Amino acid sequence: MANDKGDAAPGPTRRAILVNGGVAGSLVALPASGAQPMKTPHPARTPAAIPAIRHKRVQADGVDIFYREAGREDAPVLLLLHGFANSSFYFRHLMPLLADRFRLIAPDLPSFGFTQVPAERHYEFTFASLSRTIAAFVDALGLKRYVLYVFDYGAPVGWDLALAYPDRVAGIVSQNGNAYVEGLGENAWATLRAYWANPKPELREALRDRMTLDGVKAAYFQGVADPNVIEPESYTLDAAILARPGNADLQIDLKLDYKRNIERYPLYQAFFRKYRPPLLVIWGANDLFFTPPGAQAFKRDNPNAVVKFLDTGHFALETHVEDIAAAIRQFLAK
Amino acid sequence: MTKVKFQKAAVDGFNIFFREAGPKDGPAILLLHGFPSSSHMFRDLIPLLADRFHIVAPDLPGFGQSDMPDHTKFQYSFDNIAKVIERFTEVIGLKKFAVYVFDYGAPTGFRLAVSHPERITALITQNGNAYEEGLSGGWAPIQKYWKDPSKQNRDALRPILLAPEATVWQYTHGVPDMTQVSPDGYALDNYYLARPGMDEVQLDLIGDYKSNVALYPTFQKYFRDHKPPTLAVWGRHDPFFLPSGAEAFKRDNPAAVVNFFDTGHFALETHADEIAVAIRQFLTK
Repeated sequence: MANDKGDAAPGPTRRAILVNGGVAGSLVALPASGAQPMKTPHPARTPAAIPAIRHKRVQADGVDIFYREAGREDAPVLLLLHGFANSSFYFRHLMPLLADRFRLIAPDLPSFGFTQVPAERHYEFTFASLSRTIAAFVDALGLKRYVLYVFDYGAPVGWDLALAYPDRVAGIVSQNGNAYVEGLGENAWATLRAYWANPKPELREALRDRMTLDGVKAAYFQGVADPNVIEPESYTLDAAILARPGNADLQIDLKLDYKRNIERYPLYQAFFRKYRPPLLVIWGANDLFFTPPGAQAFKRDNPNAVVKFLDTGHFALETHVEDIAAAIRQFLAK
Repeated sequence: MTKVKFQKAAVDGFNIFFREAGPKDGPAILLLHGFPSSSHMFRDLIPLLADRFHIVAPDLPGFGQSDMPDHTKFQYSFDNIAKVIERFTEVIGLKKFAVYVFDYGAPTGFRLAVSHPERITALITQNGNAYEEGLSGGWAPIQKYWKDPSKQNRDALRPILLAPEATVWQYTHGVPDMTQVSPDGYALDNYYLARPGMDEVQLDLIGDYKSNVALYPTFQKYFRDHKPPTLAVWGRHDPFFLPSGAEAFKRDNPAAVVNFFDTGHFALETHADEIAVAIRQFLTK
């Protein structure tokens, strides 16, 4: 296993490994195979300590990559790939729920979160570039086998990683991570499609709205029944990072490059057909960008795919983290 | 996972954002954040208490997701902030509660306690100062501004108070294991600090901190007369509020419990578990 330079001296994690089910009513019960009896705790004892997330950095592909990690180093790896406009922050509630069983690793893609791309690197902000960097990240950490969790932009990056290292893929969880044209919501993609058909500057400028606080905020509430469950730091941190000098323009260019991903869908589908990795598709059904037909389509090339829908929008982890954690646990228990 | 609700209360025209979790009929704890943060700082603590306690964590006026009127429209003083927060507790129906105070949350919470001692069931001070001996030498440029609120002395505080690096330093100074500190807290804090007009808000407030020190005797009299159950949970490497500030609580309230943790000012970033254990043991006696 490669050493990562940003790591503090290894030692016992200060917080105990989570044992689910210690507190009546507030934690999700384990599935039958690992069930713990529900106990009413002594009031002075805290609910079972929440496993700590460690915050680290590693150099890969000339990029200073920030990542979050939880769980034992020798546990099966779950590689979590975020999307637009969020970051590994998206996985903050998921990671503690699975850290007893998995080694969870969530990098920030270049231009997102806390990953830093030096100006001297003259980095090209395209999906091909992001994918190369994440492949280098995986190699920098010496990861030889992993389950991929892909969300939004994390999907094309994850699919490219799968194509690059097919034998490393132990399984896939796609949460609103698209690979089929039927998943592209018509209204949501209209502006981009218009630009691709006719690349006029004003159509490019129309995307700038999506790079603002109001622009990112809207997507968090879309399709969510109770707005009071959305933690405001989710979209606020996204907006903070988008507000960095030059980032909005970079993000517009990256969004315009999504065409390249759609053109590669047949390659990704060929991978699914050939390798048939265990595949869990868990989808916020009210997502306007990536719609339910995109989820169902996975079964075409991978008939064993498990497809589940949740009554929520695109950012399903913000509202349904326990359901998603439970579904992953059950899916990977086999 | 703990269900936390995120909403705003209308407090006499002021919108106060707050986090809320836990059984509404459980013992209540009001969590008051400090500079330059928001209720987000309590994100790791809340799940460790919300099985049993009714937790309410507002963003102070001018901070986080609460309203931040321009400093020409609202006088940013600790008296005014405390008044809004006192009204907030009334608006949301908190009748009796323990109060956890951190940094600016301390002069806020102690004012609440002095104003309505009958509402306060316990005090938890996490690097929340009430004694002069707790003030480190780091306060010198601020004390200079209190003595002479000139433009020059005010401007001298800008790099200390408002520079992004200053916020990062506050989160990391005195922390043994940096991998435990997530960048989320200071990134969000810096984003809020960079809002137009926020610099003047914060300079006004640090100027008014003078009034808190002037009230220390009043706070101490409240501790002496009412002897609220008091727990101090203190990051011992805090560069602003020294361990002697924690020990001092025992002077007016000999029954005060004082615990130190091997960390800095933002102790919850690294020691939420330990602090939660201390709070639970203290409140369930």
